Amino acid sequence: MKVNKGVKYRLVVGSALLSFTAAACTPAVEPTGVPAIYEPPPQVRGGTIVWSAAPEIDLFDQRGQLIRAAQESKFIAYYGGLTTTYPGFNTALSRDYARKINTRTDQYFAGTIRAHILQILDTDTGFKATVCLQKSNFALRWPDGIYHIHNASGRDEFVEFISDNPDALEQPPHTDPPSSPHTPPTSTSTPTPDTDYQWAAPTEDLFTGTGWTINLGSDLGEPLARCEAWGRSIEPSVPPDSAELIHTTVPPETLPAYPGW
Amino acid sequence: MYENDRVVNQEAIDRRNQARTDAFAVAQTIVTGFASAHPGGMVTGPLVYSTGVLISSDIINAEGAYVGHYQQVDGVDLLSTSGGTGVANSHSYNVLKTLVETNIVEVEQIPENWTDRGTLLPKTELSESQLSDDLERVVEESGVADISRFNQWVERGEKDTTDHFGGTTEMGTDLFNDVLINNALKNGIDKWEHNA
Repeated sequence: MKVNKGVKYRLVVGSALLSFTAAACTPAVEPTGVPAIYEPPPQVRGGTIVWSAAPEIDLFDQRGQLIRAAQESKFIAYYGGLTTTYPGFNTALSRDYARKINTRTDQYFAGTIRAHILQILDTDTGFKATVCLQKSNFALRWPDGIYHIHNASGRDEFVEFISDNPDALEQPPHTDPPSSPHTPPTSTSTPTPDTDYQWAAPTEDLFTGTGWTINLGSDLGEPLARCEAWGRSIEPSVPPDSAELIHTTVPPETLPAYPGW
Repeated sequence: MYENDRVVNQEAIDRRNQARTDAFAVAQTIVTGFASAHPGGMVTGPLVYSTGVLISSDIINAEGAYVGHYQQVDGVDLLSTSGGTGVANSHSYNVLKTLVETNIVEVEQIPENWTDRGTLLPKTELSESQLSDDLERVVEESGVADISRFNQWVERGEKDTTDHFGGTTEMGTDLFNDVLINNALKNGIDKWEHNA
């Protein structure tokens, strides 16, 4: 909780200082009406995502942030709509995938999704990341107030960044591995009620101007098998070779988002 | 019987269209509260079919209008209007469900997070990303060819499924499923566009 709020606080304060400095040095301009800070839609606010990654992957470098922001925007798109996703995502998303999105605005997040960047592979047109998801501690609250939990090992999804000229878009890849592995705390921090605002979102547009087009999907096959193994490693109690549906009036605990933005 | 040059029975199409018209009339009747048009609620002839489909809420929108989305065959959505992503997902799911229920596909062939104790999860319990990202591939890896192309075609709402496959209400569930699942989709839908 402290980590996340601290990051958010620094970002907000930093943004405010930058805004103040810019305002002092440039001619006054009319406000555009665009909110200064992104607000996630109410459907997702009660949930959080706790990220981890393979040791060689940095959750805070350019790729790490783009992958996380795109994957989180995908969650938001399905339950709040594409126009409510992180700034710039809707424009960057491939139209082919955008057409596949069927938004359910009557379901609300509760609890915590565990997400893990399994690998990032360079491609001829950019790069592609495999993201494993484990949702045993996450629920969708249906209109009748019942929380639906899908207790299963894990699933794989991919986030692909595509460009006609990918070499021109990226800064040199981050070569040093992070000083400490991105392993989220298995802390016993006090969970908070799902009705509170929990979701942690970037406060700036990470997509516009990057030149990337984003494609999303899943690979199944070998990546799925690896994600299932990862999922079982953090939730050993999931049923073997199957999922388990849990319907309950009690929301799962919501852990603090990690690592923040 | 299922060759490319199959000639669609115009009489069957006319009967189906009549059933649709009847469904529309019954829908309006029920919505406006004049169900007594059919004493005792009993109907005969094509209206038996029409009454059956009215069980589905998909057939009547909030204004009481017939929206042309009905279910003629158990487990298979038949679409006569463009429906978008949700409808395409419903169709793919119903195809998969039919494959599983007819033992054409073993549950073990399906990713484990799609099943609960050996049973395919209800569509409502699958996440939207599972439906969008996995469903077409799960169906195609189950041996059904061209489901993605089929869904594109359905999404465009170009034709009613029954038009496409030359189906009729008289075909019955088993025969229609046989055409759709075991023949048309497995062999490629291009062969069946003679009516498109």
